[in-house]
Amino acid sequence: MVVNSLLKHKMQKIGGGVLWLLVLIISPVQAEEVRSGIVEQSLGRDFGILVGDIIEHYYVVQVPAAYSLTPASLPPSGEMDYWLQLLNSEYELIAENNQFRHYRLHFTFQTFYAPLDVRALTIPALTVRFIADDKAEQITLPAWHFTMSPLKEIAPRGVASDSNQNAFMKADLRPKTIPISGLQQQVWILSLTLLGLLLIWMSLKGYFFAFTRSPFQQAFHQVKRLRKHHYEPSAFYQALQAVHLAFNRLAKQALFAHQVDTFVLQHAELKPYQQKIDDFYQLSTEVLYSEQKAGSLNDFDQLLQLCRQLAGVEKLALKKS
Amino acid sequence: MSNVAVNSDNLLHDWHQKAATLQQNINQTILGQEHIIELMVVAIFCRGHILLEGDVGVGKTTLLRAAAESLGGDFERIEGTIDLMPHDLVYYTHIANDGKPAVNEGPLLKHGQDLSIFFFNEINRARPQVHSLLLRVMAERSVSAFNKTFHFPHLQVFADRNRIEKDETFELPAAARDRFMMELHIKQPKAEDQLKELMFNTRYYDADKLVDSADKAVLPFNQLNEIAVMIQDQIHVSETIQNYGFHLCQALRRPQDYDIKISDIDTEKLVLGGMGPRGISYLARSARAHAWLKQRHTVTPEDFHAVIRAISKHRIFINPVYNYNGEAIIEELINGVLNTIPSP
Repeated sequence: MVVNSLLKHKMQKIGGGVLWLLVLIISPVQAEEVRSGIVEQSLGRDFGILVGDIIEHYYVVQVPAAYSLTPASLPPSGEMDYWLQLLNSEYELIAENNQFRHYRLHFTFQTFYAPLDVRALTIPALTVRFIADDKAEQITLPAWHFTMSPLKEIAPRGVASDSNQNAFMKADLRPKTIPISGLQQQVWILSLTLLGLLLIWMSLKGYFFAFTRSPFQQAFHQVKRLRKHHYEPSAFYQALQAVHLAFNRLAKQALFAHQVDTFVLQHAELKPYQQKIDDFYQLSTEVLYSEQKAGSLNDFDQLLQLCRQLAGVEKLALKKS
Repeated sequence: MSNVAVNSDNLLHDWHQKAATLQQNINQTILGQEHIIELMVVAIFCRGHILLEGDVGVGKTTLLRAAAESLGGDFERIEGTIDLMPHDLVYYTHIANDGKPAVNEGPLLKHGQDLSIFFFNEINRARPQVHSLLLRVMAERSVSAFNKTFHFPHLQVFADRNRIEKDETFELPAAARDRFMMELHIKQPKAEDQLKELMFNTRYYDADKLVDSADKAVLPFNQLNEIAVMIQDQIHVSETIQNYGFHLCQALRRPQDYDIKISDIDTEKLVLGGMGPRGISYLARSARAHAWLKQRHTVTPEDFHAVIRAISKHRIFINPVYNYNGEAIIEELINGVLNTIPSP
């Protein structure tokens, strides 16, 4: 029991010492204020920079937790010098606890300096401000020195610089194309399917043949179809309309009875049929503008005969031309 | 067929002979204007007023005088001048034989109901006030003066204007132009033999003698109103031709709806107005009268084609942007409409 109590006492002494040690180690840190400054930076290559190059600078800065960045203190985008352009400046709060805050700053510059030989240049120092209630803090991002290279071909001796095949200046590489062979096949299949469907639809509607038939051939087929309903007054009206439409299409305008003479003069191949054309227009005038009578089968047959004859004449004229 | 219809047919046939005589009579006086004279006869049988337009010295006045003389009835002529005022048409004041001031009826009133033709020469030289009076005379065939209304049941107004001179002239307002049934554009004859005839035939040297040489009053003018009504009643218009006439008028107002193309012109914005109810009614009436003149009982597209220019040209109002070439554009529009609208 004595041993145990002694051991316990020793342990208590050791435990108290460890606690003291911890207090000694930790307390100065807790007591010391967080220092403001740059904790991390990435500025990129500071040589071999050519005219028009983009220069990107990243910084991670630390400030005490109470401080926050004043966005207005970031330099505005625009010209910083006659050769230097600040394209963009951004900031982001990336970490914070009750002691500090970490901000990441990102600056994008573009240089337009066009040196004739290697030239040392400097991006000036930038100052970023932080505020906390009535206090202010500022961090200076140091000036950055770099060298710019000229855009000048190095012409090695012995290599021709004229325009022959050994010329130093050569065409750029071809851009790599994205492989679309798989897609191409699908596109072809889809296009052919759509075309097939369109052709089927057109042939079902009768449009396909309409392209190949002459106006009078089309009229012939329509009149033939309407002849089956010859007892209906509207059938003869539609039949006359179909033949009129054929004449209009051939004349490329609405053709009327009093214009037939001029029309026949312009289409000499129709001259032998002028009497029949006149008869058709006379019949049409009688039916459409006065009597509105239903057509007899004979009337339909005459229309069919006229259409057949004029389609034949038209075909012959096309062959000759 | 009933007796009334037979009588009407016979009467119309008789009157057709008279119309042919009238046309022939005017054609004998005026050379190379057959189509214009035919249109004038159409207007006479529709009881419509006529405005003649053309270059100087093409025979506008002679033509109207010849037409007026051939028609018969009382004829009055007045010259459009810049100082002409409406009251000059209605009355005039003078010192009478007894030495006292007197007021007498002016050219419009003095013939009473027998006034058949009122010929207004150089109408565009008269002021708008005169045009305004004329609006009523043409539309209502009446005028109010001396606290009463005077009616002119047989009145037809013939007017002319030249299109060359623009100084000291007053463009007719759209409303006044719309009251003229037809605006006829007279051009000089193109045929060589006709021009030689005009140049060397002494008959054409003296316009007064020329007009006097024509037969006078070949028609009973006071029956024209009844005949005009009869023509409109008797000439048949089928449903097909009604559709055709309707689409012609629609296409003149909205050419873009009928896919009518005019080179370098945006047809969507071309026509601002025109061919209103009076215009389309005149078109139908003149188509019927034309069919009758051609001895047909039914109106066909040919009738519309014959009269549409005279009826519609002065009734189409186009966007001022196109005024620089307005006449040619309207002509092209009418051609486009006639060539595009089919029948049936």
